[in-house]
Amino acid sequence: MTPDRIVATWATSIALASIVATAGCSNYAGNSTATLSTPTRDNFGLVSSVLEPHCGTLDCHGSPARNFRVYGEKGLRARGGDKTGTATSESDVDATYESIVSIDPEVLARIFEEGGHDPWRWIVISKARGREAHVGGVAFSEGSPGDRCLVSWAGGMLDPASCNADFFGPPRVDAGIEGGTTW
Amino acid sequence: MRVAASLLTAIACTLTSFSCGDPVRDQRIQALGGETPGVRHGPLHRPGQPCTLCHSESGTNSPEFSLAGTVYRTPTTLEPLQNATIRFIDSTGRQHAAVSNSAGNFYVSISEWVPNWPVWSKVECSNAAARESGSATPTTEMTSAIFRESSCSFCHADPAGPSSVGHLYFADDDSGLQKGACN
Repeated sequence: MTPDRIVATWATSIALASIVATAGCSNYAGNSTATLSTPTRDNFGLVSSVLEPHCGTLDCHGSPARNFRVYGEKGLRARGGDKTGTATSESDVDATYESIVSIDPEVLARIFEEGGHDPWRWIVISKARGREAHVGGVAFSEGSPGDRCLVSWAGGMLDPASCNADFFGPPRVDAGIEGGTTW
Repeated sequence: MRVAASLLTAIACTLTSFSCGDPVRDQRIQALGGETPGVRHGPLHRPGQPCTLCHSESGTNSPEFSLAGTVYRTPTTLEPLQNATIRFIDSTGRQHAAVSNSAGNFYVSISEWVPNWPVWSKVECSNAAARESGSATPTTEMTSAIFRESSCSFCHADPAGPSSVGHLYFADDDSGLQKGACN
């Protein structure tokens, strides 16, 4: 290769690199925000009242260490002046709503727009059902009142009866069962 | 040659043991400070502290606890509640009980019982007056479940605030409690 040819090759390479670099540094011209459909906040209070005992204790999602946070009486409080153990406030429900709709929001939006079709696609439901790794295990088995409550809300048609039917407490133990008395 | 090899092995072992520590846990243990003067290392030591920072599989002290904590008489004092029975029931209905000592400390070692989370608990403080009157054993039930945290004081830390429920106590005030211990 002649010296002239080497210089020409280098010049071409530098020019190409400059074009690529310039293109890489250009500003993004598209929309900087995207609007996603999400289930409404209006009736989320019922959903929050189901999430709180199942998920929102201080040692689980009622902790600032979690991405998905459930605020309320049993855990973290949204307002600094509130203490854990006092009644859940609307501020707590607001904060829980903001937290839950920010978890995998594109998938939630798709489920919402499709009227609740295949809700297991959303990580909140797949973890709650125990379909994928979840330290807290199964929070709501599929088809349980709590599961129906959450799924109906995600699909845009809240089922208040399911939310109200949810119960979370110690298992009933009758006197006489081995190793136990009535709890 | 053998001496050099032994020396290298010793250095490697030392480095390995340092690197396998949990710096967060180590910092939390260090923040607890030393033993209270006059209190021996044992069942009465460190009331109100998170027991399983040390008494756990990844901790440094034995025995390893499934659940452990400290119970006080009221929310406003640090007077221990002695001889209280702390009952636990897990998600499968299996039960276990521990009795608080003179420091208010209670614990369940893993050789006694390993629960299937979540766990519900209650504190009973039987006393002569209740027995004589034939009334039920005074009982205070925890309003939420324990999902994974084996140290009660992880959540029941003082002071109560937006991410802590305050220390574990039996009664809102002393009026319903006999002076001294449960019996």
